[in-house]
Amino acid sequence: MVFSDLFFIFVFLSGCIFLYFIPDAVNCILSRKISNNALLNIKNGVLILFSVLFYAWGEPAYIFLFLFSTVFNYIAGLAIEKYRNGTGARITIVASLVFNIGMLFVFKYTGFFIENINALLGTSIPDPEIRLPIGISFFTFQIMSYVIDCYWEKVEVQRSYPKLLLYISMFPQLVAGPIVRYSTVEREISDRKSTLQDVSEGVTRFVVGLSKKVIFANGLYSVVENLLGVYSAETQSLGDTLAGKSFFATFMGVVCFALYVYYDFSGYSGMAIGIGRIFGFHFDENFKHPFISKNITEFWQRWHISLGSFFRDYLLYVPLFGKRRKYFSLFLVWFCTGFWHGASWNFIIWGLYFGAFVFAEQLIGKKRMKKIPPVVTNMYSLLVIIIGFGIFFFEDLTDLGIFFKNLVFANGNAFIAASDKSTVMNNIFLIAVAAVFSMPILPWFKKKLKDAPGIVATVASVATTVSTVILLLICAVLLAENTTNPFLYFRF
Amino acid sequence: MDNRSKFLRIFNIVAIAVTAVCIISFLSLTSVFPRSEGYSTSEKRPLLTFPTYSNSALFDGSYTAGIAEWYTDTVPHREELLGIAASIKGLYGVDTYFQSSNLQDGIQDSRPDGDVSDPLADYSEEVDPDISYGDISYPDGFFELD
Repeated sequence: MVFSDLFFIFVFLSGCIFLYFIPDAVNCILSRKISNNALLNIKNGVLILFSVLFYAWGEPAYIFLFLFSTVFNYIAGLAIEKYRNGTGARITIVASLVFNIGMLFVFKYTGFFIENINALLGTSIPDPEIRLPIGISFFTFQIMSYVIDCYWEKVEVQRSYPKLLLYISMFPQLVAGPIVRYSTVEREISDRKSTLQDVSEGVTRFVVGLSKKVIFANGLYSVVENLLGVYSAETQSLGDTLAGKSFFATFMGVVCFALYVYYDFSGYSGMAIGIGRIFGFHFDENFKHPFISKNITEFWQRWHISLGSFFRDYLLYVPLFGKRRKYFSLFLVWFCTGFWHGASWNFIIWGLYFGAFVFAEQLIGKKRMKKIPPVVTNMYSLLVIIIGFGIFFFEDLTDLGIFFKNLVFANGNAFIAASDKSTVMNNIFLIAVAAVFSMPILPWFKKKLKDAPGIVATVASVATTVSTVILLLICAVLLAENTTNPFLYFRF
Repeated sequence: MDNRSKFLRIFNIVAIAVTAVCIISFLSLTSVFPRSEGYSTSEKRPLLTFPTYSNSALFDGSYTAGIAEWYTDTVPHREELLGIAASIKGLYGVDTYFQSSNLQDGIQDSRPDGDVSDPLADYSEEVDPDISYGDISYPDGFFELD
């Protein structure tokens, strides 16, 4: 099940919210005779039930694997506490990491490694074609963060299995992130309250996220397909169509693709944060207007923050590589960042490409970077980011080569073709508005309105509510058509 | 509680109520009106039917996925909603169809060069040798009126 779906919004989510708040209504009728603890247990039960149903809906066969993984890591947490500071704790953490990384390796990377071994050694080992369980990269990382934090004594071990299951399985962030740390929701799992403000802001946040996905991301993806071509399901490449593309089609195609990935990913994260907020959880932001970054280091502090901070905290500072750890850790972080996004060489190249720029910026130094005019640094960042998303888009390395040829006019094609012009003009307002709203316009307005006089604040509040309802209706209508609704996260 | 907090509280209640009414209305309308079924004339394809249950379909995920797809595909007044969706998408840009429809890449208005077989190569027809397009000569009496 995906968030941008009529069934999810109007049946699953509505049903879950309705059942979640029923205990509150019953408690009001009973003059608040139900204790807060009992009330929270019922609500957690509703969330667990819907979360397991949500996962089982998309992956009926893998739900048992998912539940086994949660039980294994729950026991690992208890064992770490029991054998604290002893060999038993060390064996447990190693066993847990081997299990989690092993599971990720088997389900996500087996095909990739077999394919490369066959190509390298000329063997013909058959690919078992294991289907990737949805969201495995997200929930595995969440589980690992919990176990490692338990070992490092950053969080207390969760003794209640249902509470740990709630943390791992919570459907808002289960299949598309953000990667929520246990420490972020540790307190709220056991003690939280959904205020009116939480529900109101959560609904608005969800609808804004939904609009980002349905209006912008889906619309931009159609433009990308028109400009760059459609992936062949059989060959997993664009083939000859890309070779005939003009410079303009290639460049605008990757610009729109970068915007598409931003709106899709940040839309999903926004929906997750919004749904979490409705239920009283406060997840951290995952995207902070990354396209305004002045350098690539800053870009990664604004883009998929939960993944970047995961690698920073659990991989970059692992005392594993001795004196040379800084450079090797840096290489490892960017290699893993790329490889996490998909089992394909282009993702590894993508990660190392960004890593190279981060490394170069470290060598130049912050002081020197600050001396460069902001316009220049912004342009530099945008260019690096856009080309980076070209690497992200072209999974087939031959296509990637053609992409670079197209960009430097090495293919002899025209600068622009009539059909490219037509495609862009047919979507010019969508692209322009998407580009404008990728800047921090809304937070700026919000900040200005915070201290505005009463009447202005009233008008702004009413406008927010009206806009939310209109956006929800527009999304519902566009989803009824549902011709283009790609789900980016099947490969994660 | 100061005035601003009071206002925020009322505003939050109104915002939640309006959104809830919107969702409940949609649910009610989709329950009251009959679901679309049969053939979609605008999309030129049959609409999805409710998936048939089988253990294998349940375990490979196609049954549950089929329910969600069926729900979207058979939403009441689908054709009208598609029309509204097309109008919304029309606002995405400037419609350049009429300017560019004859200039699409790949469309050629002359016969392609190269080794292309001529479908008329083996076609022959007996013609009057007096009619020649080269020197424009016509049979006697051609222009005479009866």
